[in-house]
Amino acid sequence: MAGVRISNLTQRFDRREVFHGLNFAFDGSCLAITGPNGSGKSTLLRILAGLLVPTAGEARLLIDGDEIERNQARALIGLAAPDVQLYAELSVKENIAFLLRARGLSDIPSRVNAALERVDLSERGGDAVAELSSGLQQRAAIAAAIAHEPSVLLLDEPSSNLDESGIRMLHGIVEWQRARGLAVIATNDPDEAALAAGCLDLGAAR
Amino acid sequence: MILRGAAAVLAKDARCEVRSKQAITAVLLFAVTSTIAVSFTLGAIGSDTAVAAALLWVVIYFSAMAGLGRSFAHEEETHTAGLLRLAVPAESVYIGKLAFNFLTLVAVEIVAVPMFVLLTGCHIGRAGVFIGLLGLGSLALSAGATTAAAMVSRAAGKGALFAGVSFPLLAPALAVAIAGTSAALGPPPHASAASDVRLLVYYCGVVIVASLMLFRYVWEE
Repeated sequence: MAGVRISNLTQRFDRREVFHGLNFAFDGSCLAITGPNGSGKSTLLRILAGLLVPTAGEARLLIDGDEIERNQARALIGLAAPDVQLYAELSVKENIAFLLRARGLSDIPSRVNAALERVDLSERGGDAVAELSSGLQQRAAIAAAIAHEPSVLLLDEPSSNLDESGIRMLHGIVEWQRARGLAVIATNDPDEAALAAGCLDLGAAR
Repeated sequence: MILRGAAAVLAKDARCEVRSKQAITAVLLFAVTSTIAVSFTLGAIGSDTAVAAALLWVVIYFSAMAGLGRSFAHEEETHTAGLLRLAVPAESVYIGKLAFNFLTLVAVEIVAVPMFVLLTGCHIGRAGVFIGLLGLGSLALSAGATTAAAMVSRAAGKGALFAGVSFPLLAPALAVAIAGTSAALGPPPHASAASDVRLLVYYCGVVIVASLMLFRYVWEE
């Protein structure tokens, strides 16, 4: 069983406290994190991804009942977020291939193609990221996050910049991820939140 | 796994650099203009090996400062650092960035050093020792600069801070490289150059090993 455990989590930036003593437990395959702007959705995703060490407390991801350790995070977690960008000088394919190679994975061309097909970006895979529209860049970011087939997929405002077909693609990705492990979506979109089995409302938690 | 990750970072940085030409342009431009400025001001230095060695390393040092400090700052400014942290072990990032910085400096020296020798008219007494010192000195500068660049990458006022943090770290290597190069440029015997080569090897070993052990704490949080 996959899940999320948050215990006594506090995050402070200088004098601003994003959350204080937050506790939450979730077991399931898809969690939505909601709340108004500035409530700490992106911050919580960064903590869950291991990119930010909290001021106090802890937030852990569970797969098959076991907590994901820091040294496992690279292999088991994928993150698509506005503050995690791809290399603008490289093509989408080169970006994804670099991330797979850096993770020590093999069979790179087929993994790259599979990820691009999953986000309907195969035709533009050879284009430099800088040349893509913001919607296509968002698809590329999602492809990069899923290419290593992570057990946990963290998505921060994933439908921003996406058109209707992009949103359908995104819903398909979330369903695919639910079958494989855990998806955590930080969103203010009620349709996206409805995909989840549970919800952490950071606005209510404050 | 660590070396595969490092090779991936090196290949990625090289590919980005070939397309953007940011670091190589900054370093090469500084190296060429400062070499020309030195030769115009002082003319032929000829047999004054101490002055020639000091000026050569001043050119290389400031060229390194002009370009190598950007290696991590650019990742933070373009919001790609998170991608690296998510996918690549910290040690691989350090080794990959160090290798890229070293190769950048070597590429610049391939242009700038012959130009310096030609314009200042200095005589190289023993080419093998001279090239060895250039290689080791460049590795020492790259190792220290890579560590300093990572330390300041998330700070405000990175440029001034990078120069301030890296100078105390690089000053011993710079002093040894200048002394060794002075000996290598002069007539035989080259006994003091051999001891300088040894000192640079020790310096590179200590800085690289210490950086590998500490880099995780600088890079990840």
